[in-house]
Amino acid sequence: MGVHDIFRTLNIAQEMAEVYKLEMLNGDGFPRFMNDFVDMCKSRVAVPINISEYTELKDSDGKADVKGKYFRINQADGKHHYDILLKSEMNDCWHRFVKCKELFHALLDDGKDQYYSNDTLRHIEECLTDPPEASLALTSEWIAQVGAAEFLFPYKARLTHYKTDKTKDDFYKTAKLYKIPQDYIEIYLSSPYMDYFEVFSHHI
Amino acid sequence: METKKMNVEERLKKADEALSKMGVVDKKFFFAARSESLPSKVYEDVADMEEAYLNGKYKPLDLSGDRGTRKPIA
Repeated sequence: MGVHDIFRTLNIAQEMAEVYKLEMLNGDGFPRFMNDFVDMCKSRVAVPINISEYTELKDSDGKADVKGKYFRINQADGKHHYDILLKSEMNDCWHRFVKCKELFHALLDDGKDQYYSNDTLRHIEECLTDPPEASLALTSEWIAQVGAAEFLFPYKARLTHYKTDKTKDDFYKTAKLYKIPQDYIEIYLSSPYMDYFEVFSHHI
Repeated sequence: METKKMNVEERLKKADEALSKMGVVDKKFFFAARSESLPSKVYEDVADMEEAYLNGKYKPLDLSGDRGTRKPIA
């Protein structure tokens, strides 16, 4: 993954956080309200983003491997739009995080098709094997998560919790505070993740 | 097992073709970190989701909750 991709993602997340702070009362507070963020994303990309939930595909127990889908659709009239679909019955934390990550695909889309994924079989295979030489399509999955993390649980906040959160109980409390899945709190507060993003800390 | 994999591969290829015809140029999915399922389950999950999308088995999400208070417009 190129450093350029990460900088670009962090820039967009930061710009969205600035918009959020400007537009919301208590914009510095957490958790950040996700459906206000949806509106802000729609304003920024200026093309329709349709967000739906599957009627028959559910994730009631939180154990689904695949929780959401994102599509970019090029229309015959030369315009385009995005469709985001989420499994129904996800808990709030998963629902917010999956929605935010899929929205970041739309925010990051600059029309460069080398980041696009058309071959689903190959894309799944790559996601499962996580090869060292990842394609740009796989890279874009990862950076969309980086964007979601940075918006919902910014580096500066992570740094504070990194120093204090040590136990599963701590991680659970932090997950409740930011309303994102505990699995991701544990990943984002892990030493490898924090060390990796320390390089970018002057920027975020 | 091999037949099942062939079957899901066929389903995904067909879905790709149908999605391409409707103008879909980019498809991504949310794959949960720490997934513990067999890879075959992941392929099936994605196939189910693409087919449900193609068959219109979804409804607009209610976006009325999870909202804060906006600053008044100056």
